[in-house]
Amino acid sequence: MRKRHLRIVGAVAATSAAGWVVLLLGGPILLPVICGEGWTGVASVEAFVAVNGLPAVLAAHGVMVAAMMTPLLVPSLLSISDRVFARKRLPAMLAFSLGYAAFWLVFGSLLTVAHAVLSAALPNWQATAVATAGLCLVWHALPWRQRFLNRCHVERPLAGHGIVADATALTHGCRTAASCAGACAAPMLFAMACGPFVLPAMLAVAAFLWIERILPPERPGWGLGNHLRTARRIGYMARSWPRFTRHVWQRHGAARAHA
Amino acid sequence: MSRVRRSVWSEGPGWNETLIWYAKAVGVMTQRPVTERTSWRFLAGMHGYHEGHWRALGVLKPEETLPGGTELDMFWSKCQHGSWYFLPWHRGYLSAFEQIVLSAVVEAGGPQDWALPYWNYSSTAEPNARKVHPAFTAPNMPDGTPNPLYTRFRFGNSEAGEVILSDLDVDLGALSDSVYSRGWNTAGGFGGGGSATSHNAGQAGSLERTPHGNVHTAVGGAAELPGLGEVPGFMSLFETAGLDPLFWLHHANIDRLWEVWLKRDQKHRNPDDARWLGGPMDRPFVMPRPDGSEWHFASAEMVATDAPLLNYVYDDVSDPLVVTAGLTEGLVPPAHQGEVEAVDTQLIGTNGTEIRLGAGGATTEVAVDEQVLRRASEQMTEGPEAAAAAGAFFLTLESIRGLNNVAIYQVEVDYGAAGGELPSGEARAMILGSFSTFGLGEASALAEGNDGMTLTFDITKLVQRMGFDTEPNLDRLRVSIVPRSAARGIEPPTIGRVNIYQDTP
Ligand SMILES: [Cu+2]
Repeated sequence: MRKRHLRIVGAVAATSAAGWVVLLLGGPILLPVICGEGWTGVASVEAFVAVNGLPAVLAAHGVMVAAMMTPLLVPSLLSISDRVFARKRLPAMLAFSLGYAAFWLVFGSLLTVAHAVLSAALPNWQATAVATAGLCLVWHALPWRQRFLNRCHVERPLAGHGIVADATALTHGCRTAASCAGACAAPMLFAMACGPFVLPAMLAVAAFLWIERILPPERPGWGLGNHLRTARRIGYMARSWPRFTRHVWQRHGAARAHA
Repeated sequence: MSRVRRSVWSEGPGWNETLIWYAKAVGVMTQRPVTERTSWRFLAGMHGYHEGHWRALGVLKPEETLPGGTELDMFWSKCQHGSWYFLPWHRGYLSAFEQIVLSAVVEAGGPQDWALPYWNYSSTAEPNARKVHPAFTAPNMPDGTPNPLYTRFRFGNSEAGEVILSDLDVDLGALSDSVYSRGWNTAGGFGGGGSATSHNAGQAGSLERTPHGNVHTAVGGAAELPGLGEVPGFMSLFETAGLDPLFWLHHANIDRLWEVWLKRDQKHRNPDDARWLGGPMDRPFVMPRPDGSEWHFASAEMVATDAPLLNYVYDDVSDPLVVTAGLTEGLVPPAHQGEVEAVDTQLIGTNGTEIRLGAGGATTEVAVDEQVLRRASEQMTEGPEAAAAAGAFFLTLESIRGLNNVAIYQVEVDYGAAGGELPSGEARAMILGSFSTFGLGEASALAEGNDGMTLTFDITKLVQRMGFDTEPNLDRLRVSIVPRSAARGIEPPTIGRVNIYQDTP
């Protein structure tokens, strides 16, 4: 891996790790805000924002996005850094991340509203968890979910020069976030509904999304066939993993042995 | 002893033992039900299939059904294009096919050492090299029975339905590419861009581009058929390519050129990267054995053709190019040749915008970092060592998208035109090569996560020429994409961006 790629991966890993630490330490304050606890309905949006403060709502979502979503951006960031002029690397990556984050802050807040409305309508968190799990099952069995996921793999060409280059990186970030939102929304909602287990649920959902992002696109189809395929692929990756790690320690060995 | 793959023209234009047994075996295999793993159509489906298209062309009879879900999932539509897995996957595919044909040959009383012939259309020693061997165009065998090697879905690229391969179609410039892969997102390399998982779009290697893609399109072509409209020939689409018996000879030659590339320069190495050797990461490549059982493999097992698993060699892997010290020679120290991304490949110019290839093609101006180009081009005039240190230069057509799978374009660059009148126009223009849109439709399916194909052309020689020019115009390159042939009535393809990259050691 190139050094500049390693630096990007390092920065992303640090951001994500910091996000998780903040979530862990500040959980009692942040998680209720993220999940919209204390809401009684849509009418109390203003009351909720007044109590928590809009900056606090956005900041809480910012922490969540940093923790859960930034690792999903690695392929895009590497691709962008490879495809712009050297002096444009940092601005383009920042513009992309900004576009991505902006979309998610808004979308995440909408998820909060959705969760609040849902939990207000249902008797307890267990019921909300079951309902959102059902939603996951349905949404994931539709071809559109796979389409959104596939779109996350698409790296569109970027303009090369001037402010236009940063603007295309920004819109590329928004678009990627939109695809990502379509692919991640249902499991995110489920994680929010897990009551006392919100944090572990978020971690599990994040791990699921990260692995899915590594896997190649699948042909969109009806039913959960693609998830079975994903499970098979994860199984294969787990079994063949030694092949990839061992090689790191014996760099030139394998090539010679097979030559 | 390994079996020997020989040139299809090595015994002249008539039928020979190898071809007669091939034809007989193909005849047997086409009779097998499509659901049988060793049948002709099952093997073709492994490259790609389209049920509606297969039914329309009569490949699939109305009463026939495709293999079941898990079978289809494991074996079919698995061809690898647009990445560094192109060569190892096709090598395994060809080998599985060859062993199944061999077993049919032996069963029918043929030779135990039967091996797939190859079609060396780039040969300058064989006068007929560029022609399709008559054994594939004759409707009947010598004994008057129908010839299984013949297909009516091979339309060629001329009005008369003949296959006419030009110098550009069979160009072997790919063999001078100094590295197998330049990593993930920049420029290709001999074998294609890096990828951790299985693939069907992205950075095609220079060999995959030409001659591979050109020959597919030139042989397959397209034709207007009554009731069907314009139909691409078998070789023109991923979904039907394996149905043409000639496909396998074409790919045997591509496979042979991989060996030629490795042999012709000791610095040419396969990737020494776990993601290639052990890959892909998400699933093994799977092929059927002659007894129908599954054979799982990764790229590392495709490196040596004479290993027991593959058990073949080529009669000729000599270097077809005049040996000249390439400009990029010495750019990568031998110890790092197999290392992907040992050189950093950086963007130094782009047109920054999408272009549409209309009936007359398209011309675009690529703004380049003038200082980089001036420094490098001047350095290149100071002898081979300085030239090597200057780095190699590439033009890439990034994210080509569209539905026209049957078109061939040629790529021209002119570095004087933008700067006004030229004292000598042609000295500042150069044909870089050509490309075909084979596989473009598949590579353009955004909903399937494919963002088109990206192709790379080496322009190091052009940069050197600039160094010798008295008044070069270095801040702008004019790039023209000119159609040589294209299927009609289909929306023209687009190119996302046209870029210039530099390899910097
Ligand atoms: Cu092919």
